[in-house]
Amino acid sequence: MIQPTGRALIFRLGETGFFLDLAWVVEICEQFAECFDSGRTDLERRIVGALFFRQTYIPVIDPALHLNIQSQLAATDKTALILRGGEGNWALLVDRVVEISPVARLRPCELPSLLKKTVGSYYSQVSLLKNEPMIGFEPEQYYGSTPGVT
Amino acid sequence: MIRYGLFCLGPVNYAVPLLQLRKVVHADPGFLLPQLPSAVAGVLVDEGRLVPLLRLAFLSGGSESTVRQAEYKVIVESAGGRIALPAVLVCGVVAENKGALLVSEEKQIPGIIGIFNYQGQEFNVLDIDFLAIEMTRRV
Repeated sequence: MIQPTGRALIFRLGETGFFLDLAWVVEICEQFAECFDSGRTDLERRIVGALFFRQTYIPVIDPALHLNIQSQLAATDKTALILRGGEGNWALLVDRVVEISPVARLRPCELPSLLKKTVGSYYSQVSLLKNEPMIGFEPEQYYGSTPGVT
Repeated sequence: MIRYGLFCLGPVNYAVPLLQLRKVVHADPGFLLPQLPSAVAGVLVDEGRLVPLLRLAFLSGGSESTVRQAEYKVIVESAGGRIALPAVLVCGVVAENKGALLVSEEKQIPGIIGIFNYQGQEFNVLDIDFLAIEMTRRV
């Protein structure tokens, strides 16, 4: 079961900021090219490769594909966040890790009702950090299930 | 008496009823969020709330990529909530009786309810509720 830690990892995909409770994060890998196998893909499940991590291959997900976010970086120039999942660890590709922030600094902010219909199926939580909107990253939307939840 | 806020975007002038005008912000490019409707260029943060920034490219004929870089953003209240419109120039507030309001039924453009003629210039009077609701529906 994921227990919120009260601290959030702030990262960027393209120019857009996201936040994710640190409880999901196992490790942050900034250089992983040597452990990355781009031949193991399953694009229907948004898997763009496999990462050799702790003696096993884990799936690598690129959320930019799902969110249609343009990135200037090649996959191996990105940062891999190793996340917990119901079926084991998996890796999430992000452009850049910005900081770790107390969740209290994030000010919840409602999505405008005019946008809910179009963006609501992609993300539902937005908070402001230093007056910039940050999207609440929902890992279960991308791969597997929440650990400890059946 | 109706008063209008007058603005320019590229070669096109437009007017919004003053009652719907909330504020004009300067040099605020706003933020890009993923999967926005095609007619929404980004969002502004105004008083802790997100405000969709519309492209209005169908009026100005200008490049859509310059919307966020427009010098001014005009924030207006619609039936569906606040929206922001890009503007290059802010031309002031004018009472309806200082000009002439023409409602053209011949060449109706969606989102425009009439033409306000002021000092020899034509300003498209925007239907804010239509723009807010219809343009944010377009995927």
